[in-house]
Amino acid sequence: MVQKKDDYVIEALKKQINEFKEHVSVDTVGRVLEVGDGIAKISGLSNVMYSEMLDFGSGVFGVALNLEEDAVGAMILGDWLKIKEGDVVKSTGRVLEVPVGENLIGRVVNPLGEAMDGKGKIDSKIFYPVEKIAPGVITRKSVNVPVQTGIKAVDSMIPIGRGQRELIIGDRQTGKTAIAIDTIINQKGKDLICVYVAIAQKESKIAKIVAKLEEAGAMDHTIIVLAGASAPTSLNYIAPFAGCAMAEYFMDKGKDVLIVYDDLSKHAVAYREISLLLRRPPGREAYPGDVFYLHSRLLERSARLDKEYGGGSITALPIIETQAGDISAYIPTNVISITDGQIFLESDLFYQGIRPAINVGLSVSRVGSSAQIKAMKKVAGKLRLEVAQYRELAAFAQFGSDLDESTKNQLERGKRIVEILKQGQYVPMAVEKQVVILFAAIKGLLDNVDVSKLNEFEIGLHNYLETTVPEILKEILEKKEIDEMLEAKIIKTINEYKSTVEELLVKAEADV
Amino acid sequence: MSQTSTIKHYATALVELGIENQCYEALVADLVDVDSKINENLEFKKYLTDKHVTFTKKQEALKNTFQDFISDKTYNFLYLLIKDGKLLDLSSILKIAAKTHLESQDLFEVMVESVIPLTVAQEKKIQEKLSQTIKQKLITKNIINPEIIGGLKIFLGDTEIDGSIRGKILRLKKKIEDYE
Repeated sequence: MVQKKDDYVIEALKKQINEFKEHVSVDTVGRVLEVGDGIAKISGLSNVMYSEMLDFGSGVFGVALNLEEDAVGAMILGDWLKIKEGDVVKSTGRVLEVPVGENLIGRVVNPLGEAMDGKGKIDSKIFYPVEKIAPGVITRKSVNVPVQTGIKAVDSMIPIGRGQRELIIGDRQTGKTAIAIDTIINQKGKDLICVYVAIAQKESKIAKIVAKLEEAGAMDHTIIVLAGASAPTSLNYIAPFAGCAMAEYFMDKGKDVLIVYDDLSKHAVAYREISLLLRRPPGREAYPGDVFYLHSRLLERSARLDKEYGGGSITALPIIETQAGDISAYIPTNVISITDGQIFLESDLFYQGIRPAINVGLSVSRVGSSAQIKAMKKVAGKLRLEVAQYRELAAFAQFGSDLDESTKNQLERGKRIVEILKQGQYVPMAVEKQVVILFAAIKGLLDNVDVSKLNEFEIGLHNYLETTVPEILKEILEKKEIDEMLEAKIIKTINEYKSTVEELLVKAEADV
Repeated sequence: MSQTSTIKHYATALVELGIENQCYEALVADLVDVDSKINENLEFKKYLTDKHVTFTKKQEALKNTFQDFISDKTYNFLYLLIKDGKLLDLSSILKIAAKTHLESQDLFEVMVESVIPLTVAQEKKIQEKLSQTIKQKLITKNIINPEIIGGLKIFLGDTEIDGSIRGKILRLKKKIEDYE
């Protein structure tokens, strides 16, 4: 090593003796005309590119966003209070890029890829541009591999496939983030890498999420990109693009990635702020004209690549917060039209105790059903129908008490299905277990179980399956299908279990 | 951006008129003087830009202040600015005018930063050297900047040629950082 270094020095000296030359640096520069609110106006910089990084000196960088006749409008990434009028700004010749790579996994980083978790510097040699054109038609493949969220209501009725973009939309405090976090937790030990992008979120909330993910052992496959509420607006603006660039690295390696943007309404607000400060004309709700393009170009980067192109995928779960359930506001309608479906959460359901508070009627997945395993497809088709019928009947039955037997039965079953679809936070469920319990519900095997004791029954049944007949779960997972033999076996097992827990069943005498 | 383009028109008109009547230097000198006086006296500036004060009164105030020290053309230009509500842009108009004037004479202004004032011979040498590369006549403007420690830093429009000690140290710093 020392020898090598010496050689290098001698070689350099020889060169100097042969031809002594003083080195000077030649840069394209401009001068700050005005600065404020994270935006700078710069004169000069004649050959600057759009989205090029600008060096303001003293470690502060910016991005050129407005290229005008005699000035450049730039947003400042970092502390703009250090910048003075008349400061020299250098163009770097590089568009904005972020470090990517394996060593980001398990870390909390800011949108520039700098560590935020105090676990030391992240040394990455590979950089990806923040803005990138989405994969084209030729390179893509249709979505048909599922992302298991571990949430019964989602996996059965609103299935998500790898490469899909599924919007999670709802008012504040309805459990939007919870769905995303449960999905990330459920990927433990599976082959999906997760990126969680927090845009203008409270840092306390992120600290809680990180702690929960660590507790669940889910940080081992997760990157958290954090632009906190106190971070400069420019960082909030680039956060989802930076997160996407980090995900694209893994997609290019042929891996599957799940990315959560929490949330895009705040991202739109950040972009509005920057646009207005750059004096771009405002449009509806004062958002700039290209706010649709902002989100469409971001979400279009989620894709499932064909085998020939590596076969990787990015599944996106963008989150949108609505105001008082208004999904027809500007940003919600935009993002609904871009995504391949939405999970709609309602505060009414949430307060009724139906958690996750998914409104099954308004939630859809436009590509999902092809991304379900056959066993799930079999139970899910009937489930949706039963839930829809129950909702209609329940609304109707409120007016009258005299109901015929079949209506009563249908209502009772509906109640049980709704109860079964409830699920606690941070307890995602394996798909084979979901199949068994949903199968039991739609086959009417739960009709004589006490509704208030269903939760207990469910936990008991899964324990029973795991300990006495684990081959059933294994068979579902391997075959991914329920044939007649297996069906009979499942029914038999559930009946056997029922006979052991008679205290959970509805008393026959009480019914009469 | 229409704001700057109108200012540009004023500046161009000023330069062209000055060259036609061969009074550019005097005109600009007058205006620079007026500009600094107005900026020093905020009360006066407020009065001149107040919308409630009539044009004639402003005219009188100007005449009283500057009397015969400035030429008629300067007065006319100032009246025009007051009438168009552009008096606040006077500094930027003068800046652009200076640039346009140099361009119209095919001259290029180069700013040279150094720690100690350059001698005439040194300036001439720099001009010779630079005019070889950009093939245009140059005038140099020497700026004293002790921060660069030593050497020269030259600004050729948008291009910065950094041969200062400070620049060298910074480059070395970056090299060491990158090596790690």
